Amino acid sequence: MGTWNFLWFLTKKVATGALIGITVSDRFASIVSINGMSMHPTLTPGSTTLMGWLKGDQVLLEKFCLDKYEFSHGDIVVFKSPSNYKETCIKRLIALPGDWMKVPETYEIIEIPVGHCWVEGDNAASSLDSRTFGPIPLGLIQGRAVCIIWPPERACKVERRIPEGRISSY
Amino acid sequence: MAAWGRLAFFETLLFQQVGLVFQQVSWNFGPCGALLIWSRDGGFGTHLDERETSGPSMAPTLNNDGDVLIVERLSSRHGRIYPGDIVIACSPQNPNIKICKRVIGLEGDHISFHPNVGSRKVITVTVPKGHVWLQGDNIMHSQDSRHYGPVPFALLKGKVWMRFCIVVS
Repeated sequence: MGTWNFLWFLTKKVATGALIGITVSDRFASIVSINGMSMHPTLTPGSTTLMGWLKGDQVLLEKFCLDKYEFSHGDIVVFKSPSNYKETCIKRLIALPGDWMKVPETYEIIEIPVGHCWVEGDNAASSLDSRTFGPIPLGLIQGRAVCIIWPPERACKVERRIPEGRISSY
Repeated sequence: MAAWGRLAFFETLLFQQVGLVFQQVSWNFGPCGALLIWSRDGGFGTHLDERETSGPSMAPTLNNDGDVLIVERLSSRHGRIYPGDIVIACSPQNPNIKICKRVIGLEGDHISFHPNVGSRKVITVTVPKGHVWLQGDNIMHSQDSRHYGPVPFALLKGKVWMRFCIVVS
């Protein structure tokens, strides 16, 4: 009988912990690991093995910005890829709805449509971003990167950086 | 600090796996929105925007005043959405509101439609990779993919499974 009581106690604890965990990772904050070179100088990836994976950056996401979907220029955001729902990407937010923006490597100037944004990787050479698939809906965004928490020697705040001379909002 | 970070990371992984089971069936309340668990994507309850769900865009199928629907979230996570399903999605024009529409076509399908109500012109588009084409059942009064184009699959939040009850206003 004591075993069953213990199992029931354990089940209750696990269920409570899971509910709290879902709520926290869904509403407040979660942690993502970086793989891919698209943000290279800012965030570095690890390799696919376990030890290499621990060497890669782990980034803390905050999700409070998703209540009203309010972002600022230069934030690093995590979003679901518009061409594949299983992939998650991390890129820098360049332009927000209503901005007029110069498309890189062309002479085009486009207006970002309502409810959309323009994202680009810091490492333009190996980055699959809005230059390929155009502006993405804001609803795809999963959170905003706040700081690097792992490895310890690289732990720092992720700073905003706004590219100059690209955007004009009026 | 570092050890704490690793622990929190593994806990998050575990809880996300458990979360899949909990979010399998969730309840979407229309105008009478009540939240049972406070979760962004709706653990067991989400507000749907009144203008969109209780509007006329799905008129013969769903009520004008709004219905209480049971929505299951596993199909959209695992890609099992097919033409003809009614889905809940995040609006591409305003991320704060959710829309309820029927899936007409998946990636690679060719869709023909009239750009405006009553016009003779027909436009044919191909749905790009990873997108779906959403349209309301009441095509006269529906703001859908004919206006804002194909919608990324990742914006779909769940498939409507059944109607639970009707809201009497």
